[in-house]
Amino acid sequence: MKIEVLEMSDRFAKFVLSDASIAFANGLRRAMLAEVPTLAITEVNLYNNTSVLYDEQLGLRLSLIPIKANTDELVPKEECMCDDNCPACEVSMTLSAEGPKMVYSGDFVSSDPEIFPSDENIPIVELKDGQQLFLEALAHVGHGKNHSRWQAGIACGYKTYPVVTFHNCDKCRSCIEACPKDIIQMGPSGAEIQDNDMLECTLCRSCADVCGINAITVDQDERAFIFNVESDGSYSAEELIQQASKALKKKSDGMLEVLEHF
Amino acid sequence: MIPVRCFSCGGVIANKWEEFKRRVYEGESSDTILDDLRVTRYCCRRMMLSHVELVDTIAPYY
Amino acid sequence: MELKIIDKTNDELSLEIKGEDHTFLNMLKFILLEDDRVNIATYDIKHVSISDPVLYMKTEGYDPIEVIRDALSNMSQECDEFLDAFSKTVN
Repeated sequence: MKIEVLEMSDRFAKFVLSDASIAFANGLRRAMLAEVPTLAITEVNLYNNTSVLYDEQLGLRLSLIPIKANTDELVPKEECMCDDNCPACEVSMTLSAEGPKMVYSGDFVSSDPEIFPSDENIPIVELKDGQQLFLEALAHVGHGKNHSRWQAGIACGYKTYPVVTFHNCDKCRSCIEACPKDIIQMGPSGAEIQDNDMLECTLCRSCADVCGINAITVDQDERAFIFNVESDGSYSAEELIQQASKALKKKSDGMLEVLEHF
Repeated sequence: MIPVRCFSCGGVIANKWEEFKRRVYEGESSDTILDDLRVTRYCCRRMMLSHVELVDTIAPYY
Repeated sequence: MELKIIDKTNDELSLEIKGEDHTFLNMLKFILLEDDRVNIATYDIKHVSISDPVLYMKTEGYDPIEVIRDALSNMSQECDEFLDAFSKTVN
């Protein structure tokens, strides 16, 4: 397996995974979207709410706020050994505000200083003069397959690596005009696509269709994938990719362990 | 209030709303702002473009 | 992970895998099919939201459980390989 990173920032990543099976690429993609454990608010104890939003609306907004946490130290509530709740499966955060004020996700006071909303500037509700909000939110670990509040990977996807080849080009330039991505250039021996530009190719075959002498073949490398990863902020893009492959490994190890007893 | 996440893809958009709103008021065109904020997908872009703030409309009757 | 053997003979196996979906089953199926000892490997999810997937496989006379074990360790290895390659390129 070979990886070439094209972009790696806090929330975005783009990389080429080559020499891998299509099943692994798809498993990884699905794991990023649905299997990465994250922390999100699942219960809210409201002590006072005189804002314009009613309790349920407020609860939905709170639940969708991404929370940064080290989930290796936390366990989902169903898997926790405790009877009801404990610091290993539950994190409490309080919010108290009085208007006139815009309440932001950054106003949360967390019981654990390592655990906090990944964005401070998500507006929760605007309080007018005299309106009050006082609540305790309880966050639990979960997976994206159960609810979008736990979805750490946003629109993660891949495409197979395009392979466009030109042979015996007669330099008619019609493919250059036909390409919607404008990536075909005229080289010394005819039309060509630079390696960097090849990533942009969408395999639309416009160039092959327009070529009068069938000099262009558009193909794909089915063992190489261009991945596009975006994180919601609860993990950095790098951690998200690592967590996804760890989640897959946990599944296979888990099943192996069960099969040992057969 | 602006929805916290995009309805379609689940991307967080609320963290970009206030900057978007401010820059629109300052006269910048919304497509350049959205590109700048890396709101690239059209599902997320429509969340921002079509949002109407209703808090001030409702508040007097509350 | 909870498993339930629905049917098992010397070279055939139907196995219900609770709580899993295409993410895991498709990878497992793919790795099983790469194995020369396997004749058939497929899975079925009867209803998208209420059923658990059932893996069906038939081997060339080998113990299917043994074959699945090998496939699973291959899968873990694949994940390790990816993690390794990834952390090397990032750092």
